[in-house]
Amino acid sequence: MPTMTFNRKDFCKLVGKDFSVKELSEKIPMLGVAWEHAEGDEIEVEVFPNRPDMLSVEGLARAFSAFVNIDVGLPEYVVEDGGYKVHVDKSVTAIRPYIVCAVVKGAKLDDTAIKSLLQLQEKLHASHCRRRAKAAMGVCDLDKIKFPVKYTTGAPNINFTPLGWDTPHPLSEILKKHPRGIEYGWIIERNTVFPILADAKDMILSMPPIVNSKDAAITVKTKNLFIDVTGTDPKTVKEVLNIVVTSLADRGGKLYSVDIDYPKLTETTPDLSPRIAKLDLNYANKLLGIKLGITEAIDLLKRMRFDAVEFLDSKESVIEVTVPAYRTDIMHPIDLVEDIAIAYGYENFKPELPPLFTVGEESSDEEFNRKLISIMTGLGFQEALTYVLSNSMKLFTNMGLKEQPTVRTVNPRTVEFTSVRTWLLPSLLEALAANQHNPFPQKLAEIGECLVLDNSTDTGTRTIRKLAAVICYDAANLTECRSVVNSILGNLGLEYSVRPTEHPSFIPSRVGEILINGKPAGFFGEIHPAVLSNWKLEKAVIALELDVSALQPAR
Amino acid sequence: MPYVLTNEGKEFLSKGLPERHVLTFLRDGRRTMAELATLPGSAIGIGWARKAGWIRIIDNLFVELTDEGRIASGLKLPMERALEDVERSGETSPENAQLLLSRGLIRQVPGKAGIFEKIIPRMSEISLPKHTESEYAQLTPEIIKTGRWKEMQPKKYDVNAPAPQLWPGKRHIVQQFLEKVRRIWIEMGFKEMTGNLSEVAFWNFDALYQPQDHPARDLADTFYLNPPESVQLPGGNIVERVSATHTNGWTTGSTGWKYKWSADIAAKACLRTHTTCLSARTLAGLRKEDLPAKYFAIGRCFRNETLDWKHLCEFYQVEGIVVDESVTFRHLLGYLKRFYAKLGFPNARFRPAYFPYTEMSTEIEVWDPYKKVWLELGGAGIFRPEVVKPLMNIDIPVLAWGPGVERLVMNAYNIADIRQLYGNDLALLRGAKMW
Repeated sequence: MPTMTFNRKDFCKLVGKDFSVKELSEKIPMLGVAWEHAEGDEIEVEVFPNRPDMLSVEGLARAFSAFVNIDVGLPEYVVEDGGYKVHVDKSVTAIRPYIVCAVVKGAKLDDTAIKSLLQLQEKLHASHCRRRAKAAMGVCDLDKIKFPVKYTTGAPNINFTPLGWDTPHPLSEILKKHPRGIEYGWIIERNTVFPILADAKDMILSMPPIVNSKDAAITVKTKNLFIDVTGTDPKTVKEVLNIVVTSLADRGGKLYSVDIDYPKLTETTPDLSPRIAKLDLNYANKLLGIKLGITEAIDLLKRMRFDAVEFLDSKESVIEVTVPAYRTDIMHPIDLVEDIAIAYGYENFKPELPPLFTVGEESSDEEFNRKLISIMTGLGFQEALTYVLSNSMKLFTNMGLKEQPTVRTVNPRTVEFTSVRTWLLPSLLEALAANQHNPFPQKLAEIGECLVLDNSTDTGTRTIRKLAAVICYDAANLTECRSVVNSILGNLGLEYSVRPTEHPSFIPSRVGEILINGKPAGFFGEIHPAVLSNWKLEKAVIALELDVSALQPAR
Repeated sequence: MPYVLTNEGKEFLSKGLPERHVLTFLRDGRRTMAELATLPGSAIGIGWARKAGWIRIIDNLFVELTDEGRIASGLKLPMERALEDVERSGETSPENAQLLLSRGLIRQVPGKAGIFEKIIPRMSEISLPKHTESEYAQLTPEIIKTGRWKEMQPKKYDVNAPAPQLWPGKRHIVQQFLEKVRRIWIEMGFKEMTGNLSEVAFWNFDALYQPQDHPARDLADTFYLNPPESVQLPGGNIVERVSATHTNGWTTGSTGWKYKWSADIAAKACLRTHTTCLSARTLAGLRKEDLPAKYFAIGRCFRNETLDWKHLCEFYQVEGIVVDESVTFRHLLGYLKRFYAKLGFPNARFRPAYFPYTEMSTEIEVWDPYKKVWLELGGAGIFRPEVVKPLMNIDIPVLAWGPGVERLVMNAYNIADIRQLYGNDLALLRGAKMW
């Protein structure tokens, strides 16, 4: 999840009151932002993905200021008619159809403000914009641009100078060689032409969503900004623009609208008009288990930056809530209920148990597992705990077997986890291999889950439980192994027989198949020396593996 | 010749070796050399820790634990064991003795080899009892039956003589903990759910209102499978309801996520990333007459991670749901508080959090009274109407939680490297106290 860093003094200035690092570390988490750490006045927090508006210090300060009752209620933002125009060419429709823009004048772009803007851009790109695929923003120096601006496409051989480079290069080269091209090229590279933003003099402003041009880039001298957000999702581009411009407005910037001329319609952005939502106070009180009066609830909503008034309808308990345009997460009245809970303070809810009578019940599988493992520990086995993920080397090659079908993972980040195990014994041999420095004899047992392919189930697989046990020391032999088998099955009250069998993991003639009611239920024997050396084991090992379902009484 | 501890050896045995102080001090992360210098015997400690490869010094300014050091910090060090051996029996292995002598922590004392051997028979003597007419060593059936013991004296044994080590067969430390957890939920009236290790993405994500472009659904975070690649969506109209809820909110009163929902993405097979999919399946099967309903699950879950000292690809989750018209956020906190109190953590606190499928969402922390720290344990909340209504066809509050367990086990056994939980090191497991 995205983190955000800010300076305490800057934050407190925006909030309107001074707070110590300690006070902030206690209060910010209760607003729903996780505290990471602080070094001096530099603070790092983790912002949850439902609140991208708090990915800037301005947005966090705005929310915090209300939360601690300094500046409450709906923040007001004025967008003046700017008369700026952006023409959208129909060639972008199939590639990246949406664009929204805004002009911000007079924001004090000191180092702190620029740093915050760039951080907000980067963090929004990484999270809410889904690594620029859904939406991406660009910032230009307004005074370097001649309107109307065109949002269109360019051929691969068109040149411009991207940020970070000193000379013009063709779009195709920027896509392949520029660091941003390498990172984000996948979003547009399959097209024959690429999206570009150009001004009335055909100066290229940017190649969305890859990189901005150097010619229109902002500098420390920049006073006025032109902001564009392009993307594939109309909702996300608007949300991103609203979050960015409200942050700049909080720094003193004045907002001006831009008319976006699509081939058949015109849209004026940014649209910061708040939305209206209705909340039934009874619904909130019932879910929260508290009894808020209407004034109290309205007060709490204002502390979360909403405006709220009693809705004068037939029902007395309905509140009309005005939701600011930068809040992207209010989908359902339940989201307002949570905000009331946060403003109320999670620490103020008194935990209690409801009078709900139900009968507890252990799963029959777990109940049987416990029986089985108590026999094993009674026989002196230490229970092991091993990974379900494995690979064919461990499951088959090391065990002297030919490769068999398994459930396979598509893209494991840990390269040794390519398969899900089909049997348990390899896991226990691996555990023994890790214990060669410890005193012998070593006795390990585990009841473990394995997964097999099964196209008769909805998941295409079936989880099976196996019991495996190993004993490793100089004198481990078949007789001892048979004793263990006898003991397990005898204590379960099962009738069984053993027939000689062949299994490449075991020494010939020293492996038996266990049959319960004539059906195979597992095997036991002395592990083959070739298998032992595959696992780098130097002492004899006896082993058994049983299907737990074959041992368990039918339900 | 036997050994005894020197004064310094005794002090280190009671207060800890200097290298132990260094390991403990660095467990929570990097420190400066200046901070480290405040420890007792820091120079010696740093020396030994460095020699053993437990720490690394960065730019002569910072010190941090290596992977080895992190593991060592959770184990009894060979030198510590050797000091204990000498204290108890006057003996230790020749290599350890050499090291302890060179550090001036033990010295040899005159006396015949093994003061104990004078008094106590060796093991071989026990198995072949020797006794004279007037003194018996091992009691034999013959001595007991004939009553000859009445005329004999027992040969004198030392009750503090070293005895061979026994290792009882016992449950794995994680399983001991899970058993305790299972017992608590059953005591509180919860029914256990179980399920398959692999899941249809639909149940793991879509049914929990996780949008299809949610980052947690990426290949980079979730283990998708092939084979099986594409599997079965459930029958009935549950898929339609879930799809409509994602697209436009269906009849839940929500706006929905507003995107085009794809059945192909929902039909992908994956290893379950949480046990919450079990709750989704349970809710889909519940009828009104089954209420109130309380369920729990303890299950292995999977995340596509790079395995390291902080991250596992497999872990256990403890899942719970309570379904009833009357339940509230305060009840959610009530269940969790009581659960952790029964586990030995009476002090729990809650702060706001975010999960796509709950609203309210909360992060649980409990106070460790011994280490005096808050432990972050994981999430809980009330399922969103967008989760419950498509599954149950009614809008009803469902309390839900799914905290992890590894953190508490590591804390209880002083384990610093999470891989040790699945490493099956017998030194750790045989030596670990019962939960």
